[in-house]
Amino acid sequence: MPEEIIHAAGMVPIRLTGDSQEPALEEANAYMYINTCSFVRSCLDLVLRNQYHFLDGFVSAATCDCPRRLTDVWKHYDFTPFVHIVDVPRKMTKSAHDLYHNEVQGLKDRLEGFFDVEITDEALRQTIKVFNRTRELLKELYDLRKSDCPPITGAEVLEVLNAGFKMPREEFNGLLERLVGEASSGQRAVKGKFRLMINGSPLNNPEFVKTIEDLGGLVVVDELCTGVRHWWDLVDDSPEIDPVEALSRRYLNNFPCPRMFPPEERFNRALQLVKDYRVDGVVSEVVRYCVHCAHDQPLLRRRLEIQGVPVLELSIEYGASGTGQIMTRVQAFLEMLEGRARR
Amino acid sequence: MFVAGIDIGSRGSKAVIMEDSRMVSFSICETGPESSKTARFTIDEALNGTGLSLEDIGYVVATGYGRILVPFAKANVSEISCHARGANWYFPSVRTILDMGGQDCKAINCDENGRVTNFIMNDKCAGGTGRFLEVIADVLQVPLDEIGDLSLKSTQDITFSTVCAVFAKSEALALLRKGVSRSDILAGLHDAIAVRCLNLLKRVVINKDFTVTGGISKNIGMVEKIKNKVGLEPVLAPDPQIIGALGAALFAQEKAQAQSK
Amino acid sequence: MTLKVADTTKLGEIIEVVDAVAQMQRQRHERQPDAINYEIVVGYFRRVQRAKEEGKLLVSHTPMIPPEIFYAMDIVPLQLEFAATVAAQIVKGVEDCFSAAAAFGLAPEICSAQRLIAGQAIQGWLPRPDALVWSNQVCDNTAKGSNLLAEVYDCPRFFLDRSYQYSERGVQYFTQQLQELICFLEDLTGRKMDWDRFAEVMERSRRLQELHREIRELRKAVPSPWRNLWFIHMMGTEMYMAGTAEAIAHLEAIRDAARQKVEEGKGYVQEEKFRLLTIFVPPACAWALMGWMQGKHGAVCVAEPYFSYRDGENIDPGKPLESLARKSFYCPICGPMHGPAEEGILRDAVRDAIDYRAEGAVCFASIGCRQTDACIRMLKDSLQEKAGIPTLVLDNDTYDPTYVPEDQLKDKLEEFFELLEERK
Repeated sequence: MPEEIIHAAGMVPIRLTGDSQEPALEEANAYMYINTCSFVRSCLDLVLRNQYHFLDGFVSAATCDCPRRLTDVWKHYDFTPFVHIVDVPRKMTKSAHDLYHNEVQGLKDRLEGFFDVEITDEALRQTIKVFNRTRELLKELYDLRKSDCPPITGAEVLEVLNAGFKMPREEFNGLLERLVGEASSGQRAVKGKFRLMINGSPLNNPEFVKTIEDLGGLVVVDELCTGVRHWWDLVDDSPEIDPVEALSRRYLNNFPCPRMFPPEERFNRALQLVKDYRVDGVVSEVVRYCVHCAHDQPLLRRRLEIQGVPVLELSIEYGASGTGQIMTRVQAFLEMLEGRARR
Repeated sequence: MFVAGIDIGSRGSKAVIMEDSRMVSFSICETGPESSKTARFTIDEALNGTGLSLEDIGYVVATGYGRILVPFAKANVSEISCHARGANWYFPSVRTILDMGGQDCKAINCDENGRVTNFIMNDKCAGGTGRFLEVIADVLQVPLDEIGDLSLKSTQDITFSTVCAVFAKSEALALLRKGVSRSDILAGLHDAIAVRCLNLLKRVVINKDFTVTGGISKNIGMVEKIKNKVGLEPVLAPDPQIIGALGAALFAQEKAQAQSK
Repeated sequence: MTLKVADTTKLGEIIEVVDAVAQMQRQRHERQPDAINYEIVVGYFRRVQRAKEEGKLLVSHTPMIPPEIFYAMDIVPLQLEFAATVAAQIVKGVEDCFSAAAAFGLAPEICSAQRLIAGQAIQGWLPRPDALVWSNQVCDNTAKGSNLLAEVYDCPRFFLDRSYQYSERGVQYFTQQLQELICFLEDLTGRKMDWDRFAEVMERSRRLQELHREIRELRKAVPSPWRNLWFIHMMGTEMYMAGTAEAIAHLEAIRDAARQKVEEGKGYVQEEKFRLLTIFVPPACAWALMGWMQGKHGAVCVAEPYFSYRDGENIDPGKPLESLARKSFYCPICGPMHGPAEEGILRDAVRDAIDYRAEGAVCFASIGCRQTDACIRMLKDSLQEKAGIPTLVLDNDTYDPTYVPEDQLKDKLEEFFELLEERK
C-alpha cells in the first residue's frame, strides 16, 4: 500500500499496528474468530477500544485473508467514513504490474473524490523525495549495524521504525538524520555474543527484541515487513517517469512478503542479508495463524541450515514481549551457538 | 571443590551437589509460590546429611522456570542445555533426548560432550505436558502417580485430539459419562501425547541411543507408548527428574574451573 | 527431502470402497443421483491410477483451478483437496499424514486440508504428478501449500494468480493468467490446445451453469425436494468435473429427482420441520450428519450461499478463456470466498435466507478456515437483522475428527432445533 499517495493528498498516513503486549483481545474476539491472526485482532482490539478515534479513513491491501477480512469488518461496522482496499497481485509479471498500477491509480482517484482534494504529480514527486529520504537514512542506519560493535541495538532500531509509522514523515526524517549523525560518530559500541537476524510475522514490540539482546544476542538485521521490507527499495524519482507508475513498480517489486510467488525470491534475499550482516543465527517468530509465514518456514529453515545458519523458531502471539518459555528457548539457542563456536 | 546445580521447575524443584564430576547428594521438593524460598529450601534439603553448608559450595548454577530467581546462584543456564549435559553424564553415548517437563516438551540433540546441537520445543499450548496429565488425573480422579500403570490396563483404542488439551479434557469427561473405562481414556491420552512427542523428535535427529528425561518419564505407561511410537527402547536414568539439576551442577563445575584459571 | 516410494494401494482402497457404495446406491430407486456421483468418483480415481500407463500427463492441483482446461487438453487432473477428503473418510492412517506434515515443520495452525495434502505427498499415498498447478482462488493456504509440494515432488509448477476484485481489469489479468497456464501445459504435453475441443468443454460448462440455476429454483419449493447431501456431491462435481458429460448427467439426475418431488408436492422427507441455511461445509469426516439432520429431525438444508451459482454472466463457449476467467468470480466457492464480503457472502446469505424461507442458519466453523470464519459475526448480525433468523456456529475441523467429535456436533444441533421449535 503506497503511503505516498495519502501523503501527497495532504494527509498523514498512520500505519495500523496492534498493542505492544499480549492482550486478551476480548473486544476483537467478539468480531473476528480466534483463527484470525493476533496481529489483526490486536489492531481491531485497539480500534474497538477507541485508540484510533483520530482516523478519518482506512486504506488496506488484499495481502492476506486476515487483513482483507478486517477490511470487511471495518466496512460492515462502519469504523471510519472512508474505507478502501487495494488489490495486490502475488506475481511480478507485466500483467500483474498493469493490474496493480490500475489499483494504485484507483486509490488516488478515490481519495481525490471522497475528500475533494487534488493529488498533483508535483505533490507526488515531492512526497517521493521525502519518503525516499527516509529509506536512505534507514539504509545508513542499517549499514552501521554491519560493524562488529554496532552503535545501536535491534530493540532501539525497532523503536525508531515504530516512531516512523506514526509520525509526520518530514519530522521523522529530521530526527532520523540526527540519530544517524550521532550513531556514525563512533561513540557507542554495542556488544553481543552472537549476531542474529529476526524474521517472520509483523513485529512491533521492542521488548521482544530486548529480551533476546538482554540474554546476549545482538540483533543486527531483520527480514520483517516492519523492518527491511518496509524501507528496502527506493522509488524511482527520475523526472521522466510518471510518479504513480514509479510507485506501483516499487511497491510490487519491493523486497517480497511471504505471500509473493515465487518464494525463492524472498528466500534468496533473506540469505543475502544473512551473508551481508554476517549473521550467526536466525530467530524466526511466527505469529499463530500467520499462514504465509508458516508455510514458508520449513522451506526457509532448510535453506538457512544448509548455509550453516541455525534457526530458532518461536510460535508466538503478536505483541508478545518474550517472557517464560520464549526466554528459555532464546537462552538455549544462544547456549547452543556458544557450543558450536567452541567446536 | 563442591558445586551445585538447582532446577526450579514449574511443579518440582531439584538440587544436586557434586564434587569432581561425582554426585554427592540430591533433593527433590515441591515448588512453592516464592522461588527464592523454594530454592533455599531445596538446596538445604540436598545439603542435609552431607555435613556441608551453602558456604561450602564454590559455585551454583540455576536452571528451570525460576532460574533467574535463585539468589545464591552465580549463573543461570537454560534447562535445555542442562538436560543435554545431565543426560550425557549418565549416558555418554546418548545423542537424542526427549525431555518431558511440567510446562513443555523438548526434543534435543547433543554431541559427545553433552553440548546441544539442535533442539525443538512444542508450542505454548499445554497439550502433552505434565500439567496436562495433572488436569486429566484430576478429571478422572486418579492419583497422578497411578495414571501410567492404569493406562497399561487398557483394552480398547480410543483416539484423542493430538492438538488441544482443552478439547481433550472435555472429551475425556464425555467418555467417562458414557461409561468408557478410565484405563482406556488414559491410554488414548497417553497415545496422543506420544504422537506429539514423536512429531517433535522427527524434527531433530533420532539416534538409537535415546533417553527420556523430566518428570513424566517416571510414568511407565508414557514411556511404553513412546517406545512403541519411536520404535526404540529409551535408556532411562534412575532419577530422570534430577537430570536438569545435574546438568546445572556440571555447568557450575565448568564455570568454576574457567574462573580459577 | 526423500520421498517414500508411492504406495498406490491407498488409491486402490479408495476406488474399491467408493465402487461398492455406488453399487449399493444403484439398487435403490431414489438414490440414482447418488449412484452417479459415486460412479464419477470411481472413474475419476481410476483415470488417476491409469494416467501413467496410458501415457497421459497427470497434474495435481488445488481447488478451483478450472478443470475445463485439463479436460480440453486431455490431461488427467488430480484435485488434491478432494483426494484428501475422500482419503480422510475411507483410508486408515490419516494420523500418519498429519504426523508427517508436523515432522516436516508445518505448524498446526495451517489448515488441516493442506497438512493432510502435504502428509499424503510425503507418505507417498498418491502417484507422483508430472506437474503442480495451484492458486489463491480460495484462500492463503491454497496459495501457499504447493511450494512445499513442488519441493517434495520435485516437479514443474504453475501458480495461478487471481485478483481480489471482480473488475474488468481483474478479469483481464486472470484471463492472461489462464493463457499462461495453457502455455505451461502445452510445453509439458508438447501439444497445442485444441480450441474447438475447448469450446465443446465450455459448452458443457454452460449447460452445468444452467442446471445449477434450474436446481436452485426447484429448491425454493416448500416442502423441500432436496436431499441434504446432494449439495456436497454437486460441489464436488463442480470442482473437479466441470466441463464433462458425466457432470451433466449427475446434475440432470438431481434435477429430475427434485422436479418429480416438486410436481408431486412432496418433500424429500415426510415431515419437514426446519428449513436451514448452510454456511460453509460440514466436516469431511461427518457428512453423515447431513442425513441425520434430515432423517431424524426433518431439518432440510435449503440453500448454501457459499456454494451456489448466482447472478454472474452466462458462460460463452465462443470466448472460452474470458468466460472461464469471469466464472471464477461468481462460481461456487471462489466467488464468495475471495472478494469483499459486503457485496458477496453477506448479501447472498441474506437473500438466500429470504428467498428460501430459511428459519435458521447452521455455520460450520472449521478451525483451519480463517477467511470464512472471520465473517461469522457479520453473517450472524446480517441474518438476524435483515432476515430475522438465528445462526448456530459449530466449531469443528474439516479433516480431523478428533478435534470436535460428531456426537458433540449432534448435541449442539439438537439444542438449536429446540430453540427453533420454541420460536415457532
